[in-house]
Amino acid sequence: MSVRARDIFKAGLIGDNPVYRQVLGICSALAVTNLLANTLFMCFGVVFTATLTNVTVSLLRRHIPKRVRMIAQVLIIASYVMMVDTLIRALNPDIHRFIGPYVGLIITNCIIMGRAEAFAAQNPPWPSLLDGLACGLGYSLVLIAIALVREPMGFGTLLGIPLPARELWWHSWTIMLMPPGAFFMLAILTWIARSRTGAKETSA
Amino acid sequence: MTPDPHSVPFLSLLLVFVSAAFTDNILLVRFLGLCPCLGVSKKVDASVGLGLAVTFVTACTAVLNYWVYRYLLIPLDIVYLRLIVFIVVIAAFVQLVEMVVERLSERLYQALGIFLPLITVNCAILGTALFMIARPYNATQAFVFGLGSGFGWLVAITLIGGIREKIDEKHVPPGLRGPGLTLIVIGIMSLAFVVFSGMIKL
Amino acid sequence: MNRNAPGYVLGFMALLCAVFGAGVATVHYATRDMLAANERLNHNRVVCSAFGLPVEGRAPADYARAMEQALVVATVPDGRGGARSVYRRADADPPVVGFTFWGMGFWDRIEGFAVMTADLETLVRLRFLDHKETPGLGARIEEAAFLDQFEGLRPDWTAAPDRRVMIGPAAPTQAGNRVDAVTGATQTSSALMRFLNEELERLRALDWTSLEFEPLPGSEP
Repeated sequence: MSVRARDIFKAGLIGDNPVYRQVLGICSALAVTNLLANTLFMCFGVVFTATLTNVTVSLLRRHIPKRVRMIAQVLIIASYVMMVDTLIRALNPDIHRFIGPYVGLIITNCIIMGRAEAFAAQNPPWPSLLDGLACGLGYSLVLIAIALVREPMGFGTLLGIPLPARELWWHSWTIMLMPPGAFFMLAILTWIARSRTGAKETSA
Repeated sequence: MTPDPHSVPFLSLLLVFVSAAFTDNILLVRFLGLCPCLGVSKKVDASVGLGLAVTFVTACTAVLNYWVYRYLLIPLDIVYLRLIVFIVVIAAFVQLVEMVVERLSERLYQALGIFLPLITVNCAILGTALFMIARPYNATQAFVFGLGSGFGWLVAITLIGGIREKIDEKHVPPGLRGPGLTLIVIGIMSLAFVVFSGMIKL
Repeated sequence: MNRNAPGYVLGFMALLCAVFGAGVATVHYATRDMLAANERLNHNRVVCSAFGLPVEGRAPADYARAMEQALVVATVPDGRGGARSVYRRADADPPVVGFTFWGMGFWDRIEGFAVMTADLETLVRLRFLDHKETPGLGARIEEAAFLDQFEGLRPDWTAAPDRRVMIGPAAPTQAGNRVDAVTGATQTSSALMRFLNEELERLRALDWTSLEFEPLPGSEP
């Protein structure tokens, strides 16, 4: 791995983490973090789409007019997600039953567009691919951390497996099941992360 | 209840509006359009500005998308392309507004200009278009639904902006300043809006 | 070349739309038959599961055959300007009927299939054909813990039209027409309750004696 690649990964995962640092991609995706298994599905979708979109936008970067570049990016994202969605629905409907509901969440996830806009629009394809991968993983890191708290607190399970001796100590914390629970968790996580890495000013 | 497509009593329009604005608040209940909200809600006047622009665009594109869906996509049997078409309609509309405003009023353009790029990517607008076609609305109801949705977003972002202005961030731990605090505010507010659900049944 | 000239911008967007629109359309048309077959398989599977039909294998034809052997079908107006099928299983005692129902959930349409005794007094089983509710919240309507509650549920025909089946807290809580809502998914639960009750009302309005049930047309080519 070259020095440059390492930098991109470090920035995407920690230094410029898209969720707690750039405050992107928190929209409806937060709703799914009450179960770890759903979170993993969502993360996979985002990593995949972010990488693919970044490469495409990067290839087209010299041709996209400035005025319409955001909309061009949304169009590219939506098309990719819809094509993959249709293919999965045709080839394996059983898997599609699980991941179908994520499609809308992935398209409206501004993290993908945010990276296309901030990075891929100015950089060659290879670094853009790495950046999409790194930011997708950085996003996954945060979501998985939230899910690791919400699922045990809300359901008393982890990946669907009941926690040991939960009858003795566990009581369902309904707020952790509901989307507001995700906001509080994310706020706490942002707090911790920003305190540790120094609170430099960023604009979302 | 399925509304009769030919007569639209005022009360039913009011119900569509109130339910879109409050019980189904797009920002606090459905969590769409959060990212621009986090970025802009620092001050009340900026919040109101963006909110008004979003309301305008949402209402107009809702009815535009309704016509496109009804008279173009369904007859041509290309409903599966709706997402792409809606995105293009919204983008084209925003571009058009930008050009018109630019020629008509320099001051309005200055005030609106910074918000326009934020609008095309606001997923609340796209979300409204998609919800609209999933419901048995006619053109008038679609417009009112868009208006209500946008208004709900405006109310939510203004409230958040107001609360953020009141909180003196000097007394907040540095790591929590900005987004962290806003997330907590939104979390508490969305809990309050959960209570609205079930108030109106459509 | 000026990348911000209106002509270039328009041309670029037109080209981009054309390319990606064509891409999506190609995928759609290439997979259309598979999608239709999958949808029919899903429908048949849900119907078999809701009626509790014995199915011999896992192939699409097995489900179709199981349905053809056990069920008869009648086409009735759906009360919303369209038509739909009501299935009946005559060899069951008491006789049971099955029907699809749908309505708006939190995000999009929820489509379900319910089997009831022919006198409409007891729900036998409830299944979902399709929905797009939030994973982990509304989507949990598909979990067995929620669906099992509907088995043996008795709609209270003396109650108001929108409260014959209750989903969520109600007094008295021991009522035989009540199931627990999905925790944290109030909106999905109340939407389901609303359109399930609407469907019950439509079913009751049907003139059951005049329905003519026929053998299933061979749905598999």
